[in-house]
Amino acid sequence: MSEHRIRFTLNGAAVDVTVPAERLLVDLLRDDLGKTGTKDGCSVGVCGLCTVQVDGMPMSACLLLATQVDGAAIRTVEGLASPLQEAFILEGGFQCGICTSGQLVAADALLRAKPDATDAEIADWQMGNLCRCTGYYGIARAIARARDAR
Amino acid sequence: MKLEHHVRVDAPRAKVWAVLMDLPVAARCVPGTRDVAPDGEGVRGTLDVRVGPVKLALDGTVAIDSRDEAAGTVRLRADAEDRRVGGAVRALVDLRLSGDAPTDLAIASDVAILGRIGELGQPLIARQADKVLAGFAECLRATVAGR
Amino acid sequence: MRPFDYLEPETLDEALALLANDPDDTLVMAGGTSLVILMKQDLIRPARVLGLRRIAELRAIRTRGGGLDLGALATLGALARSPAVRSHAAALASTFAGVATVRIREQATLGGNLAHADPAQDPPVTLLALDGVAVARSRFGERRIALGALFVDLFETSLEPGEILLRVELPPLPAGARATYKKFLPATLDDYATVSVAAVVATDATGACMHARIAVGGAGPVPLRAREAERSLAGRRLDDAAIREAAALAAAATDPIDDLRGSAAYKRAMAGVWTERALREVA
Repeated sequence: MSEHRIRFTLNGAAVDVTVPAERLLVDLLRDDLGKTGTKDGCSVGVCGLCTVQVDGMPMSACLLLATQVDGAAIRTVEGLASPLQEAFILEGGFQCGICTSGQLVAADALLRAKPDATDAEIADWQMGNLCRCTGYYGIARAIARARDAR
Repeated sequence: MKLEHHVRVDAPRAKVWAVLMDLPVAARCVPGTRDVAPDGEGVRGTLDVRVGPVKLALDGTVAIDSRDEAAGTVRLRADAEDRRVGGAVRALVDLRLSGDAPTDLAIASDVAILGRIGELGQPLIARQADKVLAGFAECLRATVAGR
Repeated sequence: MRPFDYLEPETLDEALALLANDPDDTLVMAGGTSLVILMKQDLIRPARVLGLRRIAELRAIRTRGGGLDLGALATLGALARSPAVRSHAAALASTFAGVATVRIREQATLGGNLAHADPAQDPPVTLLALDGVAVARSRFGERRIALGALFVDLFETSLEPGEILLRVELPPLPAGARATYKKFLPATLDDYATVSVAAVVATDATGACMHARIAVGGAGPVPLRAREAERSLAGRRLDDAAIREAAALAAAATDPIDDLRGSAAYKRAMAGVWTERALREVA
């Protein structure tokens, strides 16, 4: 019923839009702003497919109202430029690709916050990004490889 | 889910039976009920109950399914739905009287949850159903004692 | 999701005034992790949602003498990383760090966690064992609520309509106090605990217990203090016998619910096992 003007940055670029109160961030990103790299999986914040960075930290876009990111810096998979992406290719960190956006966004946030994250810290942080294809070893190796490449 | 409650009423059996047969009075004994009115042989009304963060308004009816005064048993059938949330509750409540001043009332309920309401989870629903029925039992006791 | 009116006041007074206009149909939202899911499922349909995110004073985490004040809007992630929280009790920092996943911890808040009142949640258990007191305010005044009195039933607190949680206050711990939080997770690491136990003890120079707090989560309609177990330790050395006795008393104090995480009998048994492990760790 109420509409709100929100301003935030998306992958470094300024965004200025008006949204209804009930608009979810995941829908705003995918349907209004063309950033379909972020997926809507379980819709309850568990699977990690909708992971975006809000002010550098990973959050579930399916659980955020668009109004909650007014003033924030949002980064989606489209805005990543990181050794992670090549590491995922080289280490077999994806098959169908549906979880990959979320895995990358979460891992990128980790390596920014903790460039020397241990293997255990990587596992703990990525725990919330589920994968049905790879069995996780490729993902873990890829993130460790990107960490070691710094 | 099956729930059981017992209450001891310091009153003659006949008096307890009379209250049970007076459906509008018995229905008002369910905590949270409002707008109770006769509906054919039974009653209709609305039960407001909060299940966790969700407020339910269950609109429905209560009718006597079967009775046996000599045996002191009566079966009530309750059917209610919350159209907003999208779900229904069906309950069969077996009441059994034993003894006579004091009279023991045993209440055995079989409650089925249908639709959306079920998403709230069995433990939470069972807990609220238990509270409602316990309140019902206590209110019946007090109502009979007060007559 | 169903349309609603969204209000984002800049100050606490503004929030309380807005809330007082229609406390029964205005949903107070902190991080939103629980509320957004309920709204998406159409289980709650508020006419309006009042977001607290602009009220900076509610985010503050600060020490106060030897005690600690935790703002209701502080995220679980910020609390997990806070040096002040870690200094007060490392077990409190690790309690926050163990909730769900990193994404949830960045969005979910202390106040939202307490107001949600799920007895399987982690923070209330440790906060209970640390003698936490919630401070709530409405347009009519402020109230201090010991956490034991805040949680009334499954998903139900004693907060009145029109009240907003401001912070949780933790008193200074007795000198030399040791604290631990043990979370029993037989399924996945991002799940709620099947049962969990927080224990805080302090012993005197002779090794006799002079302060004991045991709180159990996931073992009843509310997180509970095992007071008889605590009393059984008073003045005693924390030897095998004392610990076993306290663990048995803690298990007996539980009133678990049968659910997907375990039967009532299993949870009761595990409450005893994990109380024993917690006490051995802090003995």
